[in-house]
Amino acid sequence: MVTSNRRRIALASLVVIVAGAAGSFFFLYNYFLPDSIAEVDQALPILTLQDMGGQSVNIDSYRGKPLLVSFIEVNCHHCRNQLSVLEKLHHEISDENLTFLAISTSSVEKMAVFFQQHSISFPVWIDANRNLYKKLGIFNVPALFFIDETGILRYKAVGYQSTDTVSGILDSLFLRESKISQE
Amino acid sequence: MFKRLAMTIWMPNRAFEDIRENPTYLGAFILIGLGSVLVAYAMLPVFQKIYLLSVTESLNPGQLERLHRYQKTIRYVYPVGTLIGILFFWFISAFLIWLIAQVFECRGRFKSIFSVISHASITSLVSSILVAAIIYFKASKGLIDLSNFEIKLGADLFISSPVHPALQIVLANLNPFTFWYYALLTIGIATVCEECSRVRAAGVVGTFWAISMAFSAGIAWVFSVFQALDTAS
Repeated sequence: MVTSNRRRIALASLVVIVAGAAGSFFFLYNYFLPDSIAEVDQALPILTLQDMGGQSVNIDSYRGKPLLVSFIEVNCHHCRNQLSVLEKLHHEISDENLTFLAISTSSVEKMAVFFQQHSISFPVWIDANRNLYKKLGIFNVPALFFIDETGILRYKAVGYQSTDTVSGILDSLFLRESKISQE
Repeated sequence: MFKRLAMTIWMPNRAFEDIRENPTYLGAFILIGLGSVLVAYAMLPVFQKIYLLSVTESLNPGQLERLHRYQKTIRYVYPVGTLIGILFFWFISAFLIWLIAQVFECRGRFKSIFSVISHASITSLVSSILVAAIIYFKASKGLIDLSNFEIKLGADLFISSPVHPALQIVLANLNPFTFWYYALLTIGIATVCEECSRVRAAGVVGTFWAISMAFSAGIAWVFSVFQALDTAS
């Protein structure tokens, strides 16, 4: 009787452990699995996000000008360095030639403090439910997306990018053309 | 203490009979732990140097300095991490086997099963020494790529095209050293548990193998998402 009970308890414990592990794996896989992966030379999905004032905004509203989108998080050390690089470039490059935009899943309050602390002057939008992150297949931050005036993704870079690297990419993608047309 | 560990290789029956009378694990822990740390210490500088060479061009001086500091920290943390990891792995394995043994009506003490696992783990030390030797042999002929660290000893050796990471884990696990490990576990469980024939012990170990394989494949399955994202970016 005792043996039988012990056997039943052991079997139930094993079932719980195995089912728990399987459930955890299933949850993690689906949590991280992107809906799609952003491909270069393809249009970005149109999704509504929130600006710092709580208003609904859309990347599509920036059509007509090249756009540099940086995906960042408050608690990411490299994101702070990346923002400093972008802020420096933001001062150097005219708004007419390039629009800078940051997107984060952090809360509006945290982002407001973060941007104030680091004196960032370009806008940040909030993707609280990770909808855009999942649509674009973003797992690592910082991530930079270089989008042309027609809304096509031209280049993406994951991880911290130095000023020279970002300048080089911008130059080859957008700014060389605008410099030529200015001349 | 160490004699019994050596006996696990040559005379496993006698070693496990001794464990049944005196289920300790300290000797096995000292020798296997020390061996694993030494192998890791031998491999780590080579691994770190190759990694550094492969990323140097893409990093700025600040990032390189941080990477140097990070690599230095790893050299100090690694031995402690290895020892804790070994103990943790043994504990989880012993708990699972103890539970499965109850289901198969093999009555054994947790301490005895823990001791069996610690002694059977000599197989992983032997395999890691072999892998380290192969890598050093390759290094003497010019080791330039991180892919040189992928030493295949299992069924994955016969697969030329890339397979899903979960399947890769299962295939890699089908190697002579894991067969040896599970054979030792079977003999050990049959010896230290009461009313447990070798066939029943094989059932216990087979179930343990299936669960651990499913667990490893599950982790690989989850990580395959990140791999796909990295490839895409």
